[in-house]
Amino acid sequence: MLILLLLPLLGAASSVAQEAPRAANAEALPNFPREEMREVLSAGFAAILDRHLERALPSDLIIWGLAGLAGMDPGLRAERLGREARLMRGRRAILARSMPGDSLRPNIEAAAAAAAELLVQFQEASWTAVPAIREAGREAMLRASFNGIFTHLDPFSRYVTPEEAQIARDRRLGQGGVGVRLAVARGQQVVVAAISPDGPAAQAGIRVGDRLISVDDELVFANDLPGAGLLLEGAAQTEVTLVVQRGGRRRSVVLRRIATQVETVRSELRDGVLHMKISGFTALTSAQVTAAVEAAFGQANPPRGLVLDLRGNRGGILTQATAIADIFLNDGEIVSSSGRHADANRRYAASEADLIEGRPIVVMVDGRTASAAEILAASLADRGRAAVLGTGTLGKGLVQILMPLPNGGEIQISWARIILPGGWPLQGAGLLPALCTAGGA
Amino acid sequence: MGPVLARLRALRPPVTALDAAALRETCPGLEGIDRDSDFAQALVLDPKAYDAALMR
Repeated sequence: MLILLLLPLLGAASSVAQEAPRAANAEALPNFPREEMREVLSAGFAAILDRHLERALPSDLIIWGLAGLAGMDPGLRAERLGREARLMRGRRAILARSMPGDSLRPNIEAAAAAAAELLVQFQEASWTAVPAIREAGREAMLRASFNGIFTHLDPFSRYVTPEEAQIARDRRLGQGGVGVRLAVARGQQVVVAAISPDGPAAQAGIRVGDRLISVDDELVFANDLPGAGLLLEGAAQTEVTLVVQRGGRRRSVVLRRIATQVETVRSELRDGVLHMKISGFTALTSAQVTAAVEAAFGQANPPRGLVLDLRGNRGGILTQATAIADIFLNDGEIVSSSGRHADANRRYAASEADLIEGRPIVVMVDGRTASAAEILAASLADRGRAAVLGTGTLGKGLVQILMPLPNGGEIQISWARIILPGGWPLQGAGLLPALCTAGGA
Repeated sequence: MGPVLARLRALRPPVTALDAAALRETCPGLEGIDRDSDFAQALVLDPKAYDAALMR
């Protein structure tokens, strides 16, 4: 009903020559998954309009999404002329349409549906007119459109295909893997960000920081990190061939997948000080930290302090990082998050007694320390509870929320900015250590 | 790093790319080194140095 009411607005006359009137006719294109695309875009747009950290207008989503779509074929381009959006090929318009108004009334869902309806018309027109887009398929079209939008908003929001979302769910259930977690490093390289100490990758000599070139002869790309992760996964006991690079040397290794979870906490006592390395933040990490701390500091002769190694830690679950900060703080604020949506504004506070009773903590960080790891380090530093040593951290201080989509995919939206108790943000500058060891100083 | 950390803590969102870059270049985000652990160990065991390194 809603779409019927909006269609007169969307069908306004165009001032430029159009290639094919049939492109706007839904009934003539049985192969185009119109309803699915409309539902997915509508839900995604509603989520972005409602929750993204940056305010966007419905017309922004149309134009940006159209630009993403046009990017799928070098012969296409998107144009905006006042309130008109055009998908151009050369000097002719494949389709031109007037955009609906930017009012979010009567509600965000209605505005999102109107914007989605218009973008679907452009998708359908391009599907009809451009073979390369038809061959790329619906998921590629959705990804291109959402990527076009997120390019204008922030670097961390993204569309997660149903396949990728399913993999993530399977992973929680114990899918087979090789014991590594991947990340994108500076220079747009796919690198090993965390590694299970006894997993197949570790046993083959792969280390954190190694660059992953290919999996089973398929090259991996930084702009498709989930796809790279997906290639590594499969049934337990199956083999997978990786090409990895360290420094200038490349080598090929064959690994046998095992059903395993990445261990994220390792600790050892060294000359009266507990050294603990946290390689990531999964659902079990804070419990593992608590167990290791209680085991070491619960002894009659406890360690004199703690060295927390967060170098190379790319982050993970935010609440796990705040829970770990809580282990070492008696009370007060750990960190807060701030966003446009009311639910994005949260304050995380310490509530448990400091398990190591004020003993010194030194946190080690480096340029690969990101997100939840930066939050933990910065919180302890800002509260004066830890000294920080190493090099400047990545500066990823935005929180993402996962929203389900009707096709089984998900949309990951940056919806909050992390703020330290002192009022400063992590995004951009990151955390700078009090003792800088850059250059080996 | 004292004055730099004071500048860092004085930042308020949104931080411009220029401000972020100016601060980041004071301690570039390089990969950690093996001796970091030795430095950290020494810092834990030296109360005066540790106290001086706290951000407060």
